[in-house]
Amino acid sequence: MAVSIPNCGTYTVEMDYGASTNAFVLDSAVAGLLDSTTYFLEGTTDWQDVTAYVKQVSINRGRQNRFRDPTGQPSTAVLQIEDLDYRFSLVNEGSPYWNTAKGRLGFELNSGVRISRNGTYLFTGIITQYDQRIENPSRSLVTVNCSDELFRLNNTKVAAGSAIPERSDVRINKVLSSVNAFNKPGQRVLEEGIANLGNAPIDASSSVMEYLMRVNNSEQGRIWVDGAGKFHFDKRLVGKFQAIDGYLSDTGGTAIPYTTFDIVSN
Amino acid sequence: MSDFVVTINEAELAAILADFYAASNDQRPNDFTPTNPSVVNTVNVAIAPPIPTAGNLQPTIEYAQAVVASSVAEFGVQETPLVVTLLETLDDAGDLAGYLTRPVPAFWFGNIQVVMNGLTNAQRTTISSLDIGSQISVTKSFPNSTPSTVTQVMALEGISHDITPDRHIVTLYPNPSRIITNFILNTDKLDDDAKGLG
Repeated sequence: MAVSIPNCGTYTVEMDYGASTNAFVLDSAVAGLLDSTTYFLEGTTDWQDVTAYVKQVSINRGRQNRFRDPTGQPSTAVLQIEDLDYRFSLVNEGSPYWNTAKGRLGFELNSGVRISRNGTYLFTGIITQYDQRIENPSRSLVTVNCSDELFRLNNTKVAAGSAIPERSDVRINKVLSSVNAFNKPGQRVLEEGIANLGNAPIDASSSVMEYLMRVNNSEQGRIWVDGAGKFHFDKRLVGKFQAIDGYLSDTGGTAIPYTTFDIVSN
Repeated sequence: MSDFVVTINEAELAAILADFYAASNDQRPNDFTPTNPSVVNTVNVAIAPPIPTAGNLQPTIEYAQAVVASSVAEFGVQETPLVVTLLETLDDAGDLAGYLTRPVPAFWFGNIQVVMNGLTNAQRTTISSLDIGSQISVTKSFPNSTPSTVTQVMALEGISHDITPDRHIVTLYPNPSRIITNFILNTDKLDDDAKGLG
Protein backbone atom coordinates (compact mmCIF):
# COMPACT_ATOMS: atom_id res chain seq x y z
CA MET A 1 0.00 0.00 0.00
CA ALA A 2 1.35 3.39 -0.98
CA VAL A 3 2.33 5.62 1.94
CA SER A 4 1.63 9.34 2.27
CA ILE A 5 4.34 11.49 3.79
CA PRO A 6 2.90 14.68 5.31
CA ASN A 7 3.40 17.67 3.01
CA CYS A 8 5.46 15.62 0.58
CA GLY A 9 3.23 13.32 -1.45
CA THR A 10 2.30 9.68 -1.88
CA TYR A 11 5.18 7.25 -2.20
CA THR A 12 5.28 3.71 -3.50
CA VAL A 13 8.07 1.17 -3.24
CA GLU A 14 7.53 -1.94 -5.32
CA MET A 15 9.58 -5.10 -5.64
CA ASP A 16 9.09 -7.60 -8.43
CA TYR A 17 8.23 -11.08 -7.30
CA GLY A 18 7.30 -12.32 -10.76
CA ALA A 19 10.33 -12.47 -12.99
CA SER A 20 12.28 -14.57 -10.59
CA THR A 21 9.55 -17.16 -10.41
CA ASN A 22 8.60 -17.63 -14.06
CA ALA A 23 11.54 -16.45 -16.18
CA PHE A 24 12.75 -18.65 -19.03
CA VAL A 25 16.11 -20.21 -18.18
CA LEU A 26 18.18 -21.50 -21.09
CA ASP A 27 19.00 -25.23 -20.89
CA SER A 28 16.85 -25.69 -17.80
CA ALA A 29 14.88 -28.95 -17.85
CA VAL A 30 11.90 -27.20 -16.26
CA ALA A 31 12.13 -23.46 -17.05
CA GLY A 32 13.88 -23.79 -20.39
CA LEU A 33 11.21 -25.59 -22.44
CA LEU A 34 10.03 -23.91 -25.62
CA ASP A 35 6.31 -23.15 -25.94
CA SER A 36 5.99 -23.22 -22.17
CA THR A 37 2.90 -21.55 -20.83
CA THR A 38 4.44 -21.32 -17.37
CA TYR A 39 7.85 -19.74 -18.06
CA PHE A 40 8.35 -16.62 -20.17
CA LEU A 41 11.30 -14.81 -21.72
CA GLU A 42 12.47 -12.33 -19.02
CA GLY A 43 9.55 -13.55 -16.91
CA THR A 44 6.44 -11.57 -16.22
CA THR A 45 6.44 -8.90 -13.60
CA ASP A 46 4.43 -9.20 -10.44
CA TRP A 47 5.02 -5.99 -8.55
CA GLN A 48 4.46 -6.23 -4.81
CA ASP A 49 3.79 -2.95 -3.02
CA VAL A 50 6.08 -3.10 0.03
CA THR A 51 5.94 0.59 0.94
CA ALA A 52 4.33 0.03 4.33
CA TYR A 53 7.39 -1.91 5.54
CA VAL A 54 10.06 0.48 4.29
CA LYS A 55 11.57 2.79 6.89
CA GLN A 56 14.08 4.64 4.77
CA VAL A 57 14.96 5.07 1.14
CA SER A 58 18.17 6.58 -0.23
CA ILE A 59 18.59 7.14 -3.94
CA ASN A 60 21.70 8.41 -5.71
CA ARG A 61 21.70 9.08 -9.42
CA GLY A 62 24.29 10.59 -11.72
CA ARG A 63 27.44 12.33 -10.49
CA GLN A 64 28.28 15.31 -8.36
CA ASN A 65 31.04 16.91 -10.41
CA ARG A 66 31.44 16.36 -14.13
CA PHE A 67 35.04 17.54 -14.04
CA ARG A 68 36.06 14.89 -11.53
CA ASP A 69 33.55 12.04 -11.61
CA PRO A 70 33.07 9.76 -14.62
CA THR A 71 29.68 9.50 -16.24
CA GLY A 72 28.01 6.11 -16.67
CA GLN A 73 28.00 5.18 -13.00
CA PRO A 74 24.91 3.08 -12.18
CA SER A 75 22.32 4.79 -10.02
CA THR A 76 21.83 3.18 -6.64
CA ALA A 77 19.00 2.85 -4.16
CA VAL A 78 19.09 1.46 -0.63
CA LEU A 79 15.90 0.31 1.11
CA GLN A 80 15.82 -0.18 4.87
CA ILE A 81 12.98 -2.52 5.84
CA GLU A 82 11.63 -3.11 9.33
CA ASP A 83 10.57 -6.74 9.00
CA LEU A 84 8.21 -7.15 11.94
CA ASP A 85 6.52 -10.36 10.78
CA TYR A 86 9.52 -11.87 8.98
CA ARG A 87 7.83 -11.70 5.58
CA PHE A 88 11.13 -10.48 4.09
CA SER A 89 13.17 -13.12 5.89
CA LEU A 90 15.54 -15.30 3.92
CA VAL A 91 14.60 -18.30 6.05
CA ASN A 92 10.83 -17.96 6.50
CA GLU A 93 9.15 -20.54 4.29
CA GLY A 94 5.81 -19.18 5.42
CA SER A 95 6.47 -15.76 3.92
CA PRO A 96 3.93 -14.62 1.32
CA TYR A 97 6.96 -13.85 -0.86
CA TRP A 98 8.44 -17.33 -0.56
CA ASN A 99 9.15 -19.01 -3.89
CA THR A 100 8.18 -22.60 -3.25
CA ALA A 101 9.50 -23.80 -6.61
CA LYS A 102 12.98 -22.53 -5.86
CA GLY A 103 12.88 -23.02 -2.13
CA ARG A 104 13.94 -19.48 -1.32
CA LEU A 105 12.63 -15.94 -0.98
CA GLY A 106 11.15 -14.52 -4.19
CA PHE A 107 13.05 -11.24 -3.84
CA GLU A 108 16.60 -11.94 -4.89
CA LEU A 109 19.45 -10.83 -7.12
CA ASN A 110 18.14 -9.11 -10.28
CA SER A 111 14.55 -8.84 -9.03
CA GLY A 112 13.06 -5.53 -10.15
CA VAL A 113 12.61 -2.54 -7.83
CA ARG A 114 10.88 0.75 -8.52
CA ILE A 115 10.22 3.78 -6.35
CA SER A 116 7.78 6.53 -7.20
CA ARG A 117 6.30 9.72 -5.84
CA ASN A 118 2.77 10.63 -6.96
CA GLY A 119 3.24 8.29 -9.92
CA THR A 120 6.55 9.77 -11.08
CA TYR A 121 9.37 7.24 -10.89
CA LEU A 122 12.41 8.34 -8.91
CA PHE A 123 14.26 5.07 -9.43
CA THR A 124 13.86 1.88 -11.46
CA GLY A 125 16.39 -0.91 -11.14
CA ILE A 126 17.23 -4.33 -9.81
CA ILE A 127 18.32 -5.86 -6.53
CA THR A 128 22.09 -6.28 -6.29
CA GLN A 129 22.37 -7.31 -2.66
CA TYR A 130 19.88 -8.46 -0.02
CA ASP A 131 20.93 -8.61 3.64
CA GLN A 132 18.96 -9.55 6.73
CA ARG A 133 20.15 -8.58 10.19
CA ILE A 134 18.70 -10.00 13.38
CA GLU A 135 18.91 -7.99 16.59
CA ASN A 136 18.17 -10.20 19.55
CA PRO A 137 15.75 -11.38 20.55
CA SER A 138 13.94 -11.24 17.23
CA ARG A 139 14.02 -7.86 15.53
CA SER A 140 14.62 -8.30 11.82
CA LEU A 141 16.07 -5.53 9.69
CA VAL A 142 16.49 -6.01 5.96
CA THR A 143 18.72 -3.90 3.76
CA VAL A 144 18.11 -4.08 0.03
CA ASN A 145 20.78 -2.60 -2.23
CA CYS A 146 19.66 -1.82 -5.75
CA SER A 147 21.21 -0.55 -8.93
CA ASP A 148 19.84 0.55 -12.25
CA GLU A 149 20.31 -1.54 -15.37
CA LEU A 150 23.68 0.02 -16.20
CA PHE A 151 24.93 -2.42 -13.58
CA ARG A 152 24.23 -5.32 -15.93
CA LEU A 153 26.37 -3.76 -18.66
CA ASN A 154 29.38 -4.09 -16.39
CA ASN A 155 28.73 -7.83 -16.28
CA THR A 156 28.15 -8.34 -19.98
CA LYS A 157 30.96 -8.85 -22.46
CA VAL A 158 30.85 -6.68 -25.56
CA ALA A 159 30.35 -8.52 -28.85
CA ALA A 160 33.53 -8.41 -30.93
CA GLY A 161 33.36 -7.21 -34.51
CA SER A 162 34.48 -4.77 -37.10
CA ALA A 163 33.41 -1.14 -37.02
CA ILE A 164 32.69 1.44 -39.67
CA PRO A 165 33.06 5.21 -39.39
CA GLU A 166 29.92 6.50 -37.68
CA ARG A 167 28.64 8.92 -35.05
CA SER A 168 28.95 8.07 -31.38
CA ASP A 169 25.20 7.63 -30.87
CA VAL A 170 24.97 5.22 -33.80
CA ARG A 171 27.80 3.12 -32.38
CA ILE A 172 26.19 3.06 -28.94
CA ASN A 173 22.87 1.98 -30.42
CA LYS A 174 24.56 -0.91 -32.25
CA VAL A 175 26.45 -2.05 -29.18
CA LEU A 176 23.32 -2.04 -27.03
CA SER A 177 21.43 -3.97 -29.70
CA SER A 178 24.21 -6.53 -29.99
CA VAL A 179 23.64 -7.55 -26.38
CA ASN A 180 19.86 -6.93 -26.30
CA ALA A 181 20.24 -4.26 -23.63
CA PHE A 182 17.52 -1.63 -23.14
CA ASN A 183 15.70 -3.33 -25.98
CA LYS A 184 12.10 -2.47 -25.20
CA PRO A 185 10.41 0.15 -27.40
CA GLY A 186 11.29 3.68 -26.30
CA GLN A 187 13.85 2.50 -23.77
CA ARG A 188 16.81 4.25 -25.48
CA VAL A 189 16.98 8.03 -25.65
CA LEU A 190 20.03 8.84 -27.75
CA GLU A 191 21.01 12.36 -28.70
CA GLU A 192 22.79 12.82 -32.01
CA GLY A 193 26.45 12.78 -31.04
CA ILE A 194 29.13 15.16 -32.17
CA ALA A 195 31.98 12.66 -32.21
CA ASN A 196 32.68 10.85 -35.48
CA LEU A 197 34.26 7.51 -34.67
CA GLY A 198 36.74 5.64 -36.84
CA ASN A 199 36.91 1.99 -37.78
CA ALA A 200 38.96 0.59 -34.89
CA PRO A 201 37.52 -2.92 -34.41
CA ILE A 202 35.59 -3.82 -31.30
CA ASP A 203 37.42 -6.48 -29.34
CA ALA A 204 35.82 -8.80 -26.85
CA SER A 205 38.17 -8.12 -23.96
CA SER A 206 36.00 -5.48 -22.33
CA SER A 207 32.54 -5.27 -20.87
CA VAL A 208 29.77 -3.42 -22.67
CA MET A 209 30.04 -0.60 -20.15
CA GLU A 210 33.77 -0.28 -20.68
CA TYR A 211 33.25 0.00 -24.41
CA LEU A 212 30.47 2.55 -24.01
CA MET A 213 32.80 4.58 -21.82
CA ARG A 214 35.42 4.33 -24.53
CA VAL A 215 32.92 5.76 -27.00
CA ASN A 216 32.01 8.46 -24.54
CA ASN A 217 35.68 9.26 -24.07
CA SER A 218 35.47 10.52 -27.65
CA GLU A 219 32.21 12.37 -27.04
CA GLN A 220 32.59 13.59 -23.43
CA GLY A 221 28.83 13.59 -23.02
CA ARG A 222 26.71 11.70 -20.49
CA ILE A 223 25.51 8.11 -20.14
CA TRP A 224 22.77 7.59 -17.58
CA VAL A 225 19.49 5.88 -16.80
CA ASP A 226 16.49 7.97 -15.80
CA GLY A 227 14.06 7.36 -12.96
CA ALA A 228 11.79 5.28 -15.19
CA GLY A 229 14.65 3.04 -16.35
CA LYS A 230 15.33 4.52 -19.81
CA PHE A 231 18.90 4.62 -21.13
CA HIS A 232 20.12 8.10 -22.07
CA PHE A 233 23.11 9.21 -24.09
CA ASP A 234 23.66 12.98 -24.10
CA LYS A 235 26.05 14.60 -26.50
CA ARG A 236 28.87 16.94 -25.55
CA LEU A 237 27.55 20.19 -24.03
CA VAL A 238 27.93 22.71 -26.81
CA GLY A 239 25.53 25.57 -27.23
CA LYS A 240 22.33 23.60 -26.85
CA PHE A 241 19.11 25.59 -26.64
CA GLN A 242 17.13 24.56 -23.61
CA ALA A 243 14.50 26.14 -21.42
CA ILE A 244 14.97 26.42 -17.67
CA ASP A 245 13.20 23.55 -15.90
CA GLY A 246 13.26 24.97 -12.38
CA TYR A 247 13.97 28.20 -10.55
CA LEU A 248 15.49 28.02 -7.08
CA SER A 249 16.08 31.05 -4.91
CA ASP A 250 16.39 32.26 -1.34
CA THR A 251 14.65 35.52 -2.18
CA GLY A 252 11.05 34.31 -1.83
CA GLY A 253 8.28 34.53 -4.41
CA THR A 254 7.34 31.49 -6.45
CA ALA A 255 10.91 30.23 -6.79
CA ILE A 256 11.74 27.01 -4.96
CA PRO A 257 13.47 27.62 -1.62
CA TYR A 258 16.52 25.61 -0.63
CA THR A 259 18.12 25.03 2.74
CA THR A 260 21.84 24.68 2.04
CA PHE A 261 24.24 24.71 -0.85
CA ASP A 262 27.98 24.74 -1.46
CA ILE A 263 29.95 27.04 -3.67
CA VAL A 264 32.01 24.46 -5.49
CA SER A 265 35.41 25.67 -6.65
CA ASN A 266 36.82 23.25 -9.13
CA MET B 1 52.34 -37.64 -35.84
CA SER B 2 50.45 -34.68 -37.25
CA ASP B 3 51.96 -31.26 -37.78
CA PHE B 4 51.08 -28.36 -35.59
CA VAL B 5 48.74 -25.91 -37.25
CA VAL B 6 49.04 -22.33 -36.11
CA THR B 7 46.16 -20.10 -37.03
CA ILE B 8 46.40 -16.36 -36.60
CA ASN B 9 43.17 -14.48 -36.55
CA GLU B 10 44.34 -11.19 -37.99
CA ALA B 11 41.10 -9.39 -37.24
CA GLU B 12 41.22 -10.44 -33.60
CA LEU B 13 44.88 -9.48 -33.33
CA ALA B 14 44.15 -6.13 -34.89
CA ALA B 15 41.31 -5.57 -32.47
CA ILE B 16 43.47 -6.38 -29.47
CA LEU B 17 46.21 -4.08 -30.65
CA ALA B 18 43.77 -1.31 -31.42
CA ASP B 19 42.28 -1.79 -28.01
CA PHE B 20 45.72 -1.48 -26.49
CA TYR B 21 45.82 2.07 -27.73
CA ALA B 22 42.17 3.00 -27.49
CA ALA B 23 41.52 1.90 -23.95
CA SER B 24 38.51 2.55 -21.78
CA ASN B 25 38.57 5.61 -19.62
CA ASP B 26 37.48 4.00 -16.39
CA GLN B 27 40.02 1.20 -16.32
CA ARG B 28 43.10 2.47 -18.07
CA PRO B 29 45.27 5.51 -17.82
CA ASN B 30 44.40 7.36 -21.01
CA ASP B 31 41.17 8.93 -19.86
CA PHE B 32 40.81 12.66 -19.70
CA THR B 33 42.24 12.97 -16.19
CA PRO B 34 43.52 16.47 -15.60
CA THR B 35 46.50 16.62 -13.29
CA ASN B 36 45.19 19.89 -11.96
CA PRO B 37 41.44 19.86 -11.45
CA SER B 38 41.05 23.64 -11.65
CA VAL B 39 42.92 24.63 -14.79
CA VAL B 40 43.67 22.63 -17.92
CA ASN B 41 45.22 24.70 -20.66
CA THR B 42 47.01 22.13 -22.80
CA VAL B 43 45.07 19.07 -23.98
CA ASN B 44 46.27 16.32 -26.31
CA VAL B 45 43.67 14.12 -28.00
CA ALA B 46 44.68 11.18 -30.18
CA ILE B 47 42.53 9.62 -32.88
CA ALA B 48 41.98 5.89 -33.20
CA PRO B 49 45.20 4.34 -34.51
CA PRO B 50 44.95 2.70 -37.93
CA ILE B 51 44.37 -1.03 -37.94
CA PRO B 52 47.72 -2.80 -37.61
CA THR B 53 48.86 -4.66 -40.68
CA ALA B 54 51.40 -7.40 -41.21
CA GLY B 55 53.96 -4.79 -42.17
CA ASN B 56 53.09 -2.34 -39.43
CA LEU B 57 52.00 -3.93 -36.19
CA GLN B 58 52.50 -0.77 -34.16
CA PRO B 59 51.07 2.17 -36.08
CA THR B 60 51.97 5.69 -35.08
CA ILE B 61 49.51 7.50 -32.87
CA GLU B 62 48.39 10.82 -34.31
CA TYR B 63 47.01 13.49 -32.04
CA ALA B 64 45.79 17.06 -31.96
CA GLN B 65 46.71 19.59 -29.31
CA ALA B 66 44.77 22.55 -27.96
CA VAL B 67 46.64 25.23 -26.06
CA VAL B 68 45.15 28.31 -24.39
CA ALA B 69 48.09 30.69 -24.45
CA SER B 70 46.58 33.26 -22.10
CA SER B 71 46.03 30.59 -19.46
CA VAL B 72 49.53 29.20 -19.91
CA ALA B 73 50.88 32.69 -19.35
CA GLU B 74 48.86 33.01 -16.16
CA PHE B 75 49.09 29.53 -14.62
CA GLY B 76 51.95 27.84 -16.45
CA VAL B 77 51.46 24.71 -18.53
CA GLN B 78 48.69 22.54 -17.10
CA GLU B 79 48.71 19.59 -19.46
CA THR B 80 46.80 16.32 -19.62
CA PRO B 81 48.26 12.96 -20.54
CA LEU B 82 47.39 11.87 -24.06
CA VAL B 83 43.67 11.17 -24.34
CA VAL B 84 43.35 8.24 -26.76
CA THR B 85 39.92 8.13 -28.38
CA LEU B 86 38.03 6.30 -31.11
CA LEU B 87 37.72 9.51 -33.16
CA GLU B 88 38.21 9.29 -36.89
CA THR B 89 39.96 12.55 -37.83
CA LEU B 90 42.42 14.97 -36.35
CA ASP B 91 39.89 17.76 -36.91
CA ASP B 92 37.50 15.97 -34.55
CA ALA B 93 40.34 15.42 -32.09
CA GLY B 94 41.17 19.13 -32.23
CA ASP B 95 37.54 20.04 -31.51
CA LEU B 96 37.47 17.71 -28.52
CA ALA B 97 40.82 19.00 -27.23
CA GLY B 98 39.49 22.55 -27.37
CA TYR B 99 36.34 21.48 -25.55
CA LEU B 100 38.35 19.89 -22.74
CA THR B 101 40.39 22.99 -21.94
CA ARG B 102 39.52 24.94 -18.81
CA PRO B 103 41.57 28.15 -18.98
CA VAL B 104 40.53 29.58 -15.61
CA PRO B 105 39.23 28.05 -12.37
CA ALA B 106 35.45 27.74 -12.24
CA PHE B 107 33.05 27.98 -9.37
CA TRP B 108 29.39 27.20 -9.16
CA PHE B 109 26.53 26.58 -6.78
CA GLY B 110 26.44 22.86 -6.02
CA ASN B 111 25.00 20.30 -3.60
CA ILE B 112 21.75 22.22 -3.29
CA GLN B 113 19.50 20.72 -0.65
CA VAL B 114 15.72 21.08 -0.88
CA VAL B 115 13.30 19.88 1.81
CA MET B 116 10.15 18.75 0.03
CA ASN B 117 8.00 19.22 3.15
CA GLY B 118 8.43 22.99 2.91
CA LEU B 119 7.30 23.37 -0.69
CA THR B 120 4.00 24.00 -2.40
CA ASN B 121 2.44 21.23 -4.49
CA ALA B 122 3.56 22.91 -7.69
CA GLN B 123 7.12 23.27 -6.42
CA ARG B 124 7.21 19.63 -5.32
CA THR B 125 6.04 18.55 -8.76
CA THR B 126 8.80 20.62 -10.36
CA ILE B 127 11.49 19.11 -8.16
CA SER B 128 10.20 15.57 -8.75
CA SER B 129 10.32 16.06 -12.50
CA LEU B 130 13.92 17.30 -12.57
CA ASP B 131 16.35 14.78 -13.98
CA ILE B 132 19.93 14.59 -15.13
CA GLY B 133 20.39 17.11 -17.91
CA SER B 134 17.61 19.39 -16.64
CA GLN B 135 18.53 23.03 -16.48
CA ILE B 136 17.98 25.03 -13.31
CA SER B 137 18.47 28.64 -12.30
CA VAL B 138 19.77 29.22 -8.78
CA THR B 139 19.72 32.62 -7.11
CA LYS B 140 21.43 33.46 -3.84
CA SER B 141 21.45 36.79 -2.02
CA PHE B 142 24.48 37.64 0.10
CA PRO B 143 24.39 40.17 2.97
CA ASN B 144 28.06 41.16 2.68
CA SER B 145 28.99 40.66 -0.91
CA THR B 146 29.09 42.52 -4.20
CA PRO B 147 27.01 41.93 -6.15
CA SER B 148 24.47 41.21 -3.46
CA THR B 149 22.58 38.71 -5.61
CA VAL B 150 24.12 36.06 -7.82
CA THR B 151 22.18 33.89 -10.28
CA GLN B 152 23.65 30.87 -12.01
CA VAL B 153 22.05 28.76 -14.73
CA MET B 154 23.33 25.21 -14.59
CA ALA B 155 22.68 21.68 -15.82
CA LEU B 156 21.98 18.86 -13.40
CA GLU B 157 24.58 16.11 -13.34
CA GLY B 158 23.16 14.22 -10.37
CA ILE B 159 20.25 13.94 -7.94
CA SER B 160 19.86 12.19 -4.62
CA HIS B 161 16.78 11.50 -2.51
CA ASP B 162 16.61 10.70 1.20
CA ILE B 163 13.12 9.60 2.14
CA THR B 164 11.90 8.69 5.62
CA PRO B 165 8.34 8.35 6.99
CA ASP B 166 8.23 12.06 7.83
CA ARG B 167 10.42 13.86 5.30
CA HIS B 168 11.88 13.85 1.83
CA ILE B 169 15.13 15.67 1.18
CA VAL B 170 16.35 16.17 -2.37
CA THR B 171 19.94 17.14 -3.15
CA LEU B 172 20.69 18.53 -6.59
CA TYR B 173 24.16 18.41 -8.11
CA PRO B 174 24.27 21.04 -10.84
CA ASN B 175 27.36 21.84 -12.88
CA PRO B 176 28.18 24.70 -15.24
CA SER B 177 26.22 24.32 -18.44
CA ARG B 178 26.83 25.38 -21.99
CA ILE B 179 23.16 25.75 -22.63
CA ILE B 180 21.50 28.64 -24.42
CA THR B 181 18.45 30.26 -22.88
CA ASN B 182 15.86 32.55 -24.40
CA PHE B 183 16.97 36.08 -25.20
CA ILE B 184 14.70 38.48 -23.35
CA LEU B 185 14.24 41.89 -24.99
CA ASN B 186 15.21 44.86 -22.82
CA THR B 187 16.74 42.52 -20.25
CA ASP B 188 19.55 40.59 -21.91
CA LYS B 189 22.52 42.04 -23.72
CA LEU B 190 23.48 41.47 -27.33
CA ASP B 191 26.45 39.23 -28.15
CA ASP B 192 25.84 37.04 -25.12
CA ASP B 193 26.80 33.50 -26.20
CA ALA B 194 24.44 32.01 -23.61
CA LYS B 195 21.34 33.66 -25.11
CA GLY B 196 19.44 32.73 -28.24
CA LEU B 197 16.18 33.17 -30.09
CA GLY B 198 14.19 30.02 -29.57
